[in-house]
Amino acid sequence: MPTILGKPQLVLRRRVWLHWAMDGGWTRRVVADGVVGVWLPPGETLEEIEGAAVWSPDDELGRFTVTAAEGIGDGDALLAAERRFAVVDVERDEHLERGGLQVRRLRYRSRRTTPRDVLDRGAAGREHAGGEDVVTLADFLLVRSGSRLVRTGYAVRADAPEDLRASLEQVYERVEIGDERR
Amino acid sequence: MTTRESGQVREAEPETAAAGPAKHIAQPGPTTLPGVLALQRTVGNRAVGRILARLRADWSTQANAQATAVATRTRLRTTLLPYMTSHSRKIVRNTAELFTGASPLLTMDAITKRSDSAAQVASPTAPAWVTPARHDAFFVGTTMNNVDFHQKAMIGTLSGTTMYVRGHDSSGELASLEDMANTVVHECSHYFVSQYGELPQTNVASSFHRYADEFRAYWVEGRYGDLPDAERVKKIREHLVGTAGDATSGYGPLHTAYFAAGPNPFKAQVDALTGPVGFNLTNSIRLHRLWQLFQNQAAGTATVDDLIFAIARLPAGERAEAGRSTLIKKLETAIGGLGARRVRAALTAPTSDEYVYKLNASGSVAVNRFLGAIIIGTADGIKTAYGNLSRQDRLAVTRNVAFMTFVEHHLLDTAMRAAVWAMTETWNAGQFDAMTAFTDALRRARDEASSGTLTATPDYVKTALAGLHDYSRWTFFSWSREGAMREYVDVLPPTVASDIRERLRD
Repeated sequence: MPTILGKPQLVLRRRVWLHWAMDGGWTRRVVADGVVGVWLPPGETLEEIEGAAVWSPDDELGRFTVTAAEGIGDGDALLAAERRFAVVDVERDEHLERGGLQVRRLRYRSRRTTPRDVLDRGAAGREHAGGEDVVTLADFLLVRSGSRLVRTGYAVRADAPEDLRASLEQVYERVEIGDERR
Repeated sequence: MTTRESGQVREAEPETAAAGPAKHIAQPGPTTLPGVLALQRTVGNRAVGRILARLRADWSTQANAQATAVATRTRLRTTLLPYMTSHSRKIVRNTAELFTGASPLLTMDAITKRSDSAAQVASPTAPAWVTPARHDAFFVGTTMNNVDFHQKAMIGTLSGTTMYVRGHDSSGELASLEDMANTVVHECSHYFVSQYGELPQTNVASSFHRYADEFRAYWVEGRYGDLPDAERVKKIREHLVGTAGDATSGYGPLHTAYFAAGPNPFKAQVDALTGPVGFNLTNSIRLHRLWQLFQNQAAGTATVDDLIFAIARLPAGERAEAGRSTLIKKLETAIGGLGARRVRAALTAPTSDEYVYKLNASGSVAVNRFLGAIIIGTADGIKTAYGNLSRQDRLAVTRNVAFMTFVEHHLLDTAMRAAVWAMTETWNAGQFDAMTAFTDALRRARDEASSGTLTATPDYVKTALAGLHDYSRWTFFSWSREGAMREYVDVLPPTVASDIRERLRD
């Protein structure tokens, strides 16, 4: 079964280095069967978690991801899914061509109240989380490659520290689509 | 079976869990979904409950996930709620009442991990805040035709007025009934806090209001309930804020806020909290309905009489809680005037068993109607209801201290109160009218006195007095001393007042 990073998924959470290149200490990973190239800062790795490629200095507050699936909807389906849980303000909705592929850029903010969940923390006992008003900023590129939809970009809580947001944006700015090369 | 935290004893479940290895719901035989449902039809819910208690949850395929959901829903409705209804702790029984009855306040249903959870969380069309490391995809109800995302360790969640319970942990191990009951009690506490708005900042994870909300929920669910209060406070605080040496302990945002360096008002507030705060600490449907009734009264869709009736019907302990509540005090103040005074008087009626039991010891329907008429406070209604009392009922209320206290707290009009005494003492509704005529005459004399023209007891007062039965006069003199006597007689010129007192005593 192909995965986002091009290998069968052997363990849930592992570090994957398939193809890489160096640029001022930054390393390049190619994911989603070559549709997306991701440059990461020195020492950072892209992890495969449940079939998604993820990089984050703080997963609770924000993360950069690459995900892909066959026979699935497009940006409208993404916005519809968001709107099931949140009020969404779309800031940018652009149709572009990048690296020979059709790309839709969606940048939006979603405002939602997180579900009030009871969590089982094992020996630490119960924890009751959620019930918070959270604003999430998302900036994604949606690429149609045959019957496959690839999404790359980041989502970050609006109240996350500035340096985290800047880190995610920096990685996002260097994303390569299709045959783009920096 | 999971157990509660160390030091706590799990109460026995009504079904007896058989020893031996756990079985999968989708295995052949009586543990398959059709087998379970067939068994339910033939031998009933208790037998199904016993089987379900031995099963493990399984969401490896859509069919298994749905079978797990059906089993969870069955267990919630046919085992957990009856277990809660017959629980030894009042708050658990109260909480069960929220989910039962003809029009329950809340509903309970299953939430189950989807068999395609991994694909859902890693989908390009999953919401941006969903993260594969932290979330799983779930469905609610028994058909995997919907998707919701929650943290992987989620075992229950409250959405609107529906409590979704997973019934097992993320490894599939079934939760004990006692664990689930505690969780439901806990979450219902949060529900009420959100309804009443007494802790408005609870939606900020690092706020004192969130701390107080959680503290209250842990307190009422009974966790650490066997400890002395001071120790219980300490245990709950430690669970919530953790310990200084362990950054991963407690609830993350609360831990960070509590152990922040420098002047720390949050820590001071936390340390000062020594008990649960807010209205309805017993998860009572009756107290909640009272709160709703205040909202309706403010909106014009209910009356003060409706409120008084609801208060009068409350069990004594709950009436006392409502009487102490700052939330109810605010709502009562908003009514203003006589209405607010009537509500306060009803709330502060005695709560001793002596009073509550003796008010209508025989449980007579006619006496209840009479009490209701007193709450509404119209002369015709009171007389009619009294007229419908049997001889036994009249005996029961005559000179009944509990009844007299009830009248003191629900009839704020002193003249009407005097009329009730006259009627119940003489067993004659005509004396109600006679006493009313007498207080009307006194009111007229008081007006004359205030204009300076009253020098002696007027004839119209003497005439009205003549219409009173001896017993009626004596009740006025004896029982209305702090009421009608003070309001209508003591304010008259001393010679007139003295003369009237003598005539009453005669």
